[in-house]
Amino acid sequence: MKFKGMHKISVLLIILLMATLFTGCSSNKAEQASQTAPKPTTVTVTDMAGRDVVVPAEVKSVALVWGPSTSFVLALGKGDIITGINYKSDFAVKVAPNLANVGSVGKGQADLEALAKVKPDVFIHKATDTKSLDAVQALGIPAIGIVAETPEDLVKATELLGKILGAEQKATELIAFYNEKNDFAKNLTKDIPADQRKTVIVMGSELGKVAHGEMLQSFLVETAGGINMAKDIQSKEIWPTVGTEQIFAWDPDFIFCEDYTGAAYTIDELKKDSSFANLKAIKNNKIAYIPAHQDLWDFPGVQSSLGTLWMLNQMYPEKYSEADFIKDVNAFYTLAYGTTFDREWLGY
Amino acid sequence: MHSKWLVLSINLFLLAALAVCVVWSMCVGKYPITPLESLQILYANVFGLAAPTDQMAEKVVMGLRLPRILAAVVIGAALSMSGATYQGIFKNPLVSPDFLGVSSGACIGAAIAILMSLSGTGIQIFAFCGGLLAVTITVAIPRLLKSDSNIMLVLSGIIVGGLMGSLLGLLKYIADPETQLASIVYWQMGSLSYVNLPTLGSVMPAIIVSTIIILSMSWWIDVISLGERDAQTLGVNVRRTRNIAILCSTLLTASAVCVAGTIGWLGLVIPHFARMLVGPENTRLLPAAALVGAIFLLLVDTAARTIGSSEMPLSILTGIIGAPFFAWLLYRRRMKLH
Repeated sequence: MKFKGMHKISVLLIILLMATLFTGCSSNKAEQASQTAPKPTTVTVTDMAGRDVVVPAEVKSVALVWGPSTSFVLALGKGDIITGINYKSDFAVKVAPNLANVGSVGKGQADLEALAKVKPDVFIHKATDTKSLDAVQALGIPAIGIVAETPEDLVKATELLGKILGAEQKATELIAFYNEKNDFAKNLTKDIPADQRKTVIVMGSELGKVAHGEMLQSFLVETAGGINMAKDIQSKEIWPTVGTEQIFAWDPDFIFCEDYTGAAYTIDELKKDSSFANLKAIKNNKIAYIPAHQDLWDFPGVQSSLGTLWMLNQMYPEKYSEADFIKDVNAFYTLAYGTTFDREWLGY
Repeated sequence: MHSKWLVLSINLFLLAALAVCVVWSMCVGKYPITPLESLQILYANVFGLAAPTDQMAEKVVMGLRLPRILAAVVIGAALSMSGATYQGIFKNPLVSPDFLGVSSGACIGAAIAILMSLSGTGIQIFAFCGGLLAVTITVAIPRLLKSDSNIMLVLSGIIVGGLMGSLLGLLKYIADPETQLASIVYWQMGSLSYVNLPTLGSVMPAIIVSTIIILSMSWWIDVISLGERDAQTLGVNVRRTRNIAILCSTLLTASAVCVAGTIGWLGLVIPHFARMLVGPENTRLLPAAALVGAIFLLLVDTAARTIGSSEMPLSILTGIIGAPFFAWLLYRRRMKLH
C-alpha cells in the first residue's frame, strides 16, 4: 500500500518535532555589558534587580512608566528632568510644572518606540519587570530597576536614585526625616500595653478587602502604635478579600480606607448603612480615608512617613496633637519641595 | 471551482500585498524616522554597510520594528494555518485553536512553567503539553458521548475552554503578584511588544517543521474531509494522519503562544476568509490562509503599536475586528444556502 511506510515516518516526525521543542524559546538577556566601555563621563551602579548599569555621571533626563518611581523622583526634587511619564497627577504637575508638557511613554510597561523617541538618560522602573528593563537597556537607554515594597527597600531606592540623579544630599535628608519620624512614632507609643493599643484595619477599594501584614499599609499602622487586625492573613495577593463578616468579627477601633477613585464604596455610604451601624469604628466615627488626594501617603516613598504620622494623630491625639502633625507635614514639604501646601488641597 | 491559475494569481497577489505591508510597517511608528531612512537602515544592515542615520533610529528599526514584523508574519501564518488544519481535520468550520481550548491550554502550560520558575525552553514544552492535553480532552468528550456532531465538538470546546479559564484564574490567584502575575497576564493578553529575534528564532524550527508536514499532508487532509470511509478506500490511514495533523497544528499554536501569548479569533476567522478566496481544498487553502493570516496580524500589530499613547493588547483588536467579521461570514453563508 502507498501509505504503509507512514508509521515509521510519523514516528520520525514526532521525534523531530520534540527535538525542535528542546531548542527552546530561550529568553534573551539583553547585553547590558555591551556598554561597559569606561568613559570618565559615566558611572556604573548596581540596581535593585542586581544588574550592573552604566549611567551618565550627570543625568539630565529621566523617563518612567511605574507610579511609585515617580514619587521617588519628585521627592528628590528632580521632577524637572522627567521627559517621559505614564501618568501625571495634579500633585506631580504642581511640584514640577514642566510635566504639563511631558508625554506618555507607556502604561506600566514601557512603550519602546515612544521611549526611543524621548531618549532619556535613564529609565527607572520596578525591578521585578526584567522584561521591560532588558528591552529598554537593549535600546541603549540605561534602565534602573528599583524595589519599594518594604521600608528598608524604600530607603535603599531613595539612596540609589539620589546617587544616580545627582541628589545625594537630598536623599540623605529625606531618609533622615523618614527614619526620624518612624522612630519618633515608635518611641511615642512603645509603652502602650498591648491591650490598650488601638486595633485597626486598612480597607482597599472594596468592602472586605484588607491590607495584610506584608503590605506597607500594615507597616504604617504598626509603626504608629496600632495593631493591624489583618496582619496574620496569609496571602500572596495584594488586598486579599476577607469579607465583611470577618470585619464584624474583628470590630476594630479604627478603619482606615484607601482613597481610590472608583472604589466600590464611600465612607458616607457606610455611615448611612444600618447594617454597619454597630461597628465600633462607625459608631465612634473612627473611619477615615488615608490622605491621598494629591501626594500618596500610603504609597512606597519617603512621603509615607506622613501616612504613619497621620495614623498616629488619628489614634493617639493625646500623645501627638493635630498642631504637631501639621507642623511635621509642613516640615516634610519644605524639605522635599521647598514649600508648603494647603491642608485642604492635600486632603488631610 | 476556482481554476488553478486563478488560485496561483491570488496567492501571488497576497504575497505582494504582504511584501507591501511589511515595507509599510517598517516605515511607521512613534519614533520619527522617514520611510526613506528606514529603508536605508534596512538596506545597510542587510548588506553590511554603515547605516546613514543616528544609532537610535537603527536600533528602533532593526531591534524593535523588524523583530515585531517578522514575528507578526510568522505567528499570523502559524495560527491561521493551525486553524485551517483543525477545521479540515474535524470537518467542522466552527473550530479554531481558541475554540478547541488549545490556546488556553497552552497558556495554562506556560503559566505553570512560570510558577515553577522555568525558563524559555521549559515554558515552550509546557505550553505544548498544555495545548495538546486541552485538545485531547476536547476531542475525547464527544467520543465518550458517542456523538460526532459538529455541535458536540463545539460544546466540548466550550467545556474545556471554561475549565481552562478557571484553572488559569486559580493559577493567577496563587501567583506572586509582583513577579509572576504580570508575566501570566502578559501571556493571556497577547502582545508582540517585547519580541526579539532570539525568542522568535527559538520557535522557528518547530514552526517550520510543522508547516512543512502540514503542507505536505494537505492532500490527505482533503481526503479525510471527504469522509472517513472514502478516505480508507483511498488508502489513507485516517487515525494516523489525523493525529499527526493535530500534533502539528497544536505545535504551531503552542509556538505562537510562546512568543506572543494567546491571540484570539485569528485562527477561526482567517481560514474562512481564505476559503472564500481560493475554495475549500486544503492544498490551496493552507498557503492562502497562511498569507492572509500573516497580513492580518501584521496590520493589527502595526495598529497596536502606533495607535494611542500606550500599546494595546492584540486580542482586543483581533476580537473587535474578528467577531463582527465572523458574524458577517455566517450571514453570507446563510444567504448562499437559501
